[in-house]
Amino acid sequence: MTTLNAAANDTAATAGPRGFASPQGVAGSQRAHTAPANASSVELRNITRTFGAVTALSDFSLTIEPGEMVALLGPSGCGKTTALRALAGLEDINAGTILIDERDVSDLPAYKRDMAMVFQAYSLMPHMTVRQNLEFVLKIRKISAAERASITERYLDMVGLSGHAAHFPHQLSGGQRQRVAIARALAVNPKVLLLDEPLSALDAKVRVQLRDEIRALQLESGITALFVTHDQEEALAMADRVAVMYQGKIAQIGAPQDIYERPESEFVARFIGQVNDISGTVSGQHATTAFGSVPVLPGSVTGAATVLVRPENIAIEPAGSGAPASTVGIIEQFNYLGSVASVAVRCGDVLINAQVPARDGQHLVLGSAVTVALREAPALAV
Amino acid sequence: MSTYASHVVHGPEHGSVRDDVTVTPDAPVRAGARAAATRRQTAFRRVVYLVSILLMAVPLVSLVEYSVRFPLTGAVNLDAWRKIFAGRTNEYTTLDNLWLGLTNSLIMCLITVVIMLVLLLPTMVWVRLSGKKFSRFVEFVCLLPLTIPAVVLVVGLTPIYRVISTQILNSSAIWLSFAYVILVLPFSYRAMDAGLRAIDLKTLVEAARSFGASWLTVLLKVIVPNIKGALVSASFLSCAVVLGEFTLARLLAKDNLQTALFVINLSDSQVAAAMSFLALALTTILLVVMDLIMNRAPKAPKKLDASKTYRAPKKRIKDTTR
Amino acid sequence: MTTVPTSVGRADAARPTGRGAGGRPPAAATSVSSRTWVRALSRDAGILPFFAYTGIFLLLPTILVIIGAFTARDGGFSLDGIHQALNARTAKIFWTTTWLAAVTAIVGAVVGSVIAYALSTAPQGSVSRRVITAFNSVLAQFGGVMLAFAFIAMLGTNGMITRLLHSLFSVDVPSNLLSSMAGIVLVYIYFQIPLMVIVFVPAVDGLRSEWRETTMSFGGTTRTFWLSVAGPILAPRFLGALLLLFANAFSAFATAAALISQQTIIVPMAIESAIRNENNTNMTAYAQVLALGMILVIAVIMALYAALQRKTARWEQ
Repeated sequence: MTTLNAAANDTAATAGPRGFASPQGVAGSQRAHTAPANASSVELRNITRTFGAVTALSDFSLTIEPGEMVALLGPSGCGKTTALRALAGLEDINAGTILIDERDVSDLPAYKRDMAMVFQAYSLMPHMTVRQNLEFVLKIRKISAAERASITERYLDMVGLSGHAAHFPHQLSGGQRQRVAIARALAVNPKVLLLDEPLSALDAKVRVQLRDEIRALQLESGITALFVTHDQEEALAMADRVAVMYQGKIAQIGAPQDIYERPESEFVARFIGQVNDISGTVSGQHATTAFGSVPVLPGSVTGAATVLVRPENIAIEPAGSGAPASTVGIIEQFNYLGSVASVAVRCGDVLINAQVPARDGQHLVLGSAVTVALREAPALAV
Repeated sequence: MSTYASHVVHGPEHGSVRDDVTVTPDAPVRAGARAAATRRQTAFRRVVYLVSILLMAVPLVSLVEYSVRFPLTGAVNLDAWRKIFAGRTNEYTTLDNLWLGLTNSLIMCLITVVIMLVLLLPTMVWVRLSGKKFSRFVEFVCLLPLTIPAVVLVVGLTPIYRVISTQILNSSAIWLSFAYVILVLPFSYRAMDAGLRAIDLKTLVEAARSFGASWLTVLLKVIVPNIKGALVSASFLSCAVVLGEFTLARLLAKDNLQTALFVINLSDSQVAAAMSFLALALTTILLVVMDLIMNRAPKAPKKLDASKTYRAPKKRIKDTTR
Repeated sequence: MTTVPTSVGRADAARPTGRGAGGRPPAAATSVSSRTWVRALSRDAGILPFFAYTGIFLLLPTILVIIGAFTARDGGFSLDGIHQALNARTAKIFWTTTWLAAVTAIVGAVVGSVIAYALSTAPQGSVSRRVITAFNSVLAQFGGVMLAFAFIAMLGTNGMITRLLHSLFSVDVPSNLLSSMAGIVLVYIYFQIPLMVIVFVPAVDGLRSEWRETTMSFGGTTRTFWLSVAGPILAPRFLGALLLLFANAFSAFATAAALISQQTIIVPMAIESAIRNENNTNMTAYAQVLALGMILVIAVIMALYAALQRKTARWEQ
């Protein structure tokens, strides 16, 4: 929370008047942005949604600050899409309240909620050209013809598709279609921008590129946004805050760094990134394992436990002669991945997966003996 | 930690989120706009169903009623049905024509289906395997009979069948099957095309051939078992076409079920009504069974139960990360 | 049919030495090119059985009809057959068939599309939907004579509904209803509607839920959706189905034959009477001209249909 504000203050001076900083050099959630005064706040309060015997959302609550982009992340069936659709008004709710700008919209039908949604696929009307797709929604909002034309031009330009205005959706690639869908959503200046797995249907490379573009557009326009994804990387890269969901509830919500580095439950620790299960004993604020001791995160158990250590927090050195036997292992697998190397070390009956920068991995040889140590990063013990 | 979060779950002891899915009793939906729309839609659908079923049932019911109620006097008896179920006996020689027509039609069902399968299946498999070269041609030819009316076809078939009746084969009605194969092409093509599309034909065939299977084996033991549904569908549809065919038989002066019904109507309309009902009912059952067989596909997969994928380790896991 | 000559042309090109047309290598062919030619043929041999069979029983009859319409009795080319056929009676028959097809197509399309929409709202696996679809299939495509009998049982002189209407509402159904045009229209509608349902349900199914939800999330009402999205998307399919219904009714024979005797008021029946007329062998030519006329009408209809299909196929993403 404080880190976010600090970052905002830091870069506000260097960023443009709307606080928009280029996405290239800024990582994760710490992008500076100042929400324009007219951005909307969203609150979902104690939402419950059941389908017969199945509970999709169970007492689900979420607040989205004006101008913020929140990601709902979770495995299939966790309720993230239901939550998004409930906010959009496309799903009914059994209990709870939905507030936009502190106004109760729970009983409002979808078409009165002043939002805009981008779907995974088939967002665009197939029988309309790109330009017509945009003008169609602007017409619904009763915007005059002249303004429609200029708004359409502006937003198509923003996504770099001005040359395709007269094309039909089937003439565009998947990435282009999604760009049009996003331009269309932004063009109506909605209170909330909703995205339902917008990148899932695209190729990997297009996905990464579009990810940054969507984020940049959202920041520039300052619109409050909620998006759903099952791709962790996407969630961590795009959102201001990530809500990890499980079985209709939020397991943990926080900035991407918090989610990744300070998971509060085993589910979140395992769901995000990778972990090694290392047995150890917890006493006080530390866990002692065969490979060293680490501080433990709040939410850890005490006594005998499994410490969940991330691969990048495993330090590997070629074994010197004086190394204690319990920390020595043999490299069983070595996978060079370009920028990093993934190394699997067998210590006794445990297989430890470590991730080292590629250049450090240059002196590691398959079959050689190495010492395994744990870095001083806090870990969860379960 | 995060002041935004108003709801954070801390699971039981070991930090794992393993609460069971809360099962609430069917809670009422809150003034749901979507639910209201769905209700309206369901009501509309039910009304339409009701009206359609009524409209479809009335002709059938009338047929049955007609068959038991002598039209002029109103006397009700099961004479017509008795005649039918007596089968081919000397007692009701007036029905001989009907049995002849029925027998012919049933034989033609068989012949047509056999010819259709033997002709169409290898061809379609071959076309799919040898690239796209002839696929549009085959598709076009197979859909052509939909657009060439039977009456038109029969004008051109008359001289051909004259030759067949006199010089090549005899004048028995069952040789109509040759022409019937053409009539069933569109239905069979569509059904088998759907079936072949659904399997990875090239890979199956290449795999079988690489193990040394002969083409016959490939066809009978590899392809056919995998498209059984489509083959059944094509066969049943073909039977339905053959049983209901009237135009060719009439204009080429052959006896089949429909022409026999037509003739019998002139002498004993109640039997005609009873037989029509049976034929309609049978064809409907044929199609319903076919549909059930075709669509025995598994239902949409249930959503993954996350607890099964992210099961907390019951004991300490000695190795492996995720 | 305008498309048939093309396939005949293609047929010739693909045929082996059998007919001796097309495919004959140039006189100065080297042994190499004739070998590749033979190899190409044997590669394509798989199409032969299908080709031969449909050639004899589908293409040949069609060719005979077309050629026969232009052949004089002594075998030479002649337009006599056509001249003979172009009289008021033929025109009347074609006209009757045309408006019969048009009326029943329009009624069938409108009513059928409503039923199709209702069916599409049901989940695809639902039993009622499948049974209704199967029964529609039977009525639409395999019903002919049996449907006619059913109508006689319903609305004939002693029909069930006739008696019901008389006793309940004192309404008298005209006794010759079924052998009149009105009766035929009624029976035709009875198989046109199911055909529309079968043909149109896939189109309605193709309306993706995302389109409706997009419209709603942007502020459009159901009315907006139907006017600006579903309507324009379904319109070509609707028109295409309408054309199919027209072609279907135009070609229908069995139903009319079962209801009407001693009259030839529609083209198929005229063809029948021409074929069966053993007294006057000139009638064969007449039948062929009528058949040619039908081919032309249907060809136009199907060309329009194909154009519409191509237009909507573009939209499939």
